[in-house]
Amino acid sequence: MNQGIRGCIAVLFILYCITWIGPPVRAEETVLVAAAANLSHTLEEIIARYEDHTGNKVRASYGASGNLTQQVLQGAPFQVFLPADRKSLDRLQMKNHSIVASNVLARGRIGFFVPRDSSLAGQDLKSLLHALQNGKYRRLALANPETAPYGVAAMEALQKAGVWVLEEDKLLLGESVAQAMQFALSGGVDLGVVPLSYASLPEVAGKGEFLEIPENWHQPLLQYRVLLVDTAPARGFYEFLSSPTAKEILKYHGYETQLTNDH
Amino acid sequence: MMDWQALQLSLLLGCSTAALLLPCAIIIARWLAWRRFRGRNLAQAAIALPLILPPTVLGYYLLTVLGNQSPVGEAFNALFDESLVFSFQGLLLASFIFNIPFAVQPMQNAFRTIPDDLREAAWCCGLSGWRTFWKIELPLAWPGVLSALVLTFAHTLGEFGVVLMVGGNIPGETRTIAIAIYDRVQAFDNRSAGLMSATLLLISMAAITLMYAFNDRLDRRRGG
Repeated sequence: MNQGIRGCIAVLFILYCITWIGPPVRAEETVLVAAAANLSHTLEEIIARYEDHTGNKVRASYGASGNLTQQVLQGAPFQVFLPADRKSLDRLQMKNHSIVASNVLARGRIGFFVPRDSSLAGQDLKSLLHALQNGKYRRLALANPETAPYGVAAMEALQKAGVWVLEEDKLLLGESVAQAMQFALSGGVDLGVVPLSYASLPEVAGKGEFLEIPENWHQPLLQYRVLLVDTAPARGFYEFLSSPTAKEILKYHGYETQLTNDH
Repeated sequence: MMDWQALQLSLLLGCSTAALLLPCAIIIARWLAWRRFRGRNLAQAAIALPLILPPTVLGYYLLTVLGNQSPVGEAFNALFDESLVFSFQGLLLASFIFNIPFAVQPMQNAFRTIPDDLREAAWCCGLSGWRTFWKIELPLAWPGVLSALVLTFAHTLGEFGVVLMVGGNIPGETRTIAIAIYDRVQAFDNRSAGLMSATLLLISMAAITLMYAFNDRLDRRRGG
């Protein structure tokens, strides 16, 4: 019986020792970034280049801009924020959250993603819209317009094309545009409205085709950069985002970076 | 690619939760096992609640109670200059709460099987309450304590909804292995998600198997 007690004490002792190490300590110079889901792969490339350049660490968390704004307001320790709309920035300002600097980073595009096994595969934009109008599809995936700017743009574009909410039960709303894309990739979905930047991803290559949606079908999808905390590492990364290197990567993934900054 | 940081964070959270929760849960379990009082059923129901509530309900209340606008959140913020939600500390607190039934129930059952006259005999022999606890109760309830420990640990590793709502997905701070898997799926990185899922499966399976093996050995030693 004494063995039991000794075992119990030993296990507890080990547990307390592990606990004593305490929560993982983030290095002072590590920059935490919250970024809109559409940026994920693009930003990882930029971060890799930045880390190579400077040796500083950057860690990013991705999600729908609306959700991330909520987290920032609740006190999440992000230092740089990259939402995909002006509204997120305005909400921070409205709640008097500290904003050190901000401006427009790039303009994004959306497109239809038609999975390889889709009944709509191989069609051009016109016949695609025709099929949508006639309800000849199983499911359509897009980001939730409540939280994701890319969902709003998708909704506007579908409205413009005259096919919005023909059959609501066929809509598959992803929490973010990344989830919408993941839905479109996992079968049973005939069409997704997703960022065109996904077209350049090796993970997506060969799994379907992209059809550009004309830019004037929706409000411009502006990607913002916001510096939330004025520390040298955070400012360093914030500045790097407008460097030629970063712009080149953004451009490669289909973002427009030649912008007037008066949005 | 394996997210080692997330795995480490999950293990740390599991160990910390188990270590913090165990002493409290022992007190609650003994109290529920032996005391008869008014509202006992209500207390038991409250403790079992995290088992059946959706993680979203728990997550919502935790966000409301611990958030920056709440008194608790404000106090924590003033004390440590850090926010409680979306931090490791907040996650630990959430994890403590949603694990209460997993720690209390196995131990409560174990303490209940100890006959009253055995404890009374110990007192008659002059053992203090404290010594009775160490010498008689704890050794007899040991399988229950071990189950509580392992279940708490394994369940912390496996919790997803509450962690996502209260912790977000902050690398190195609140991105546990369960969240990292979700994150990878959202990045269409199925290989990493598969690898991490398999790892989590193996760890959980190993923990639970060990628990059964230990209890089995104890049973045989006692029965045989």
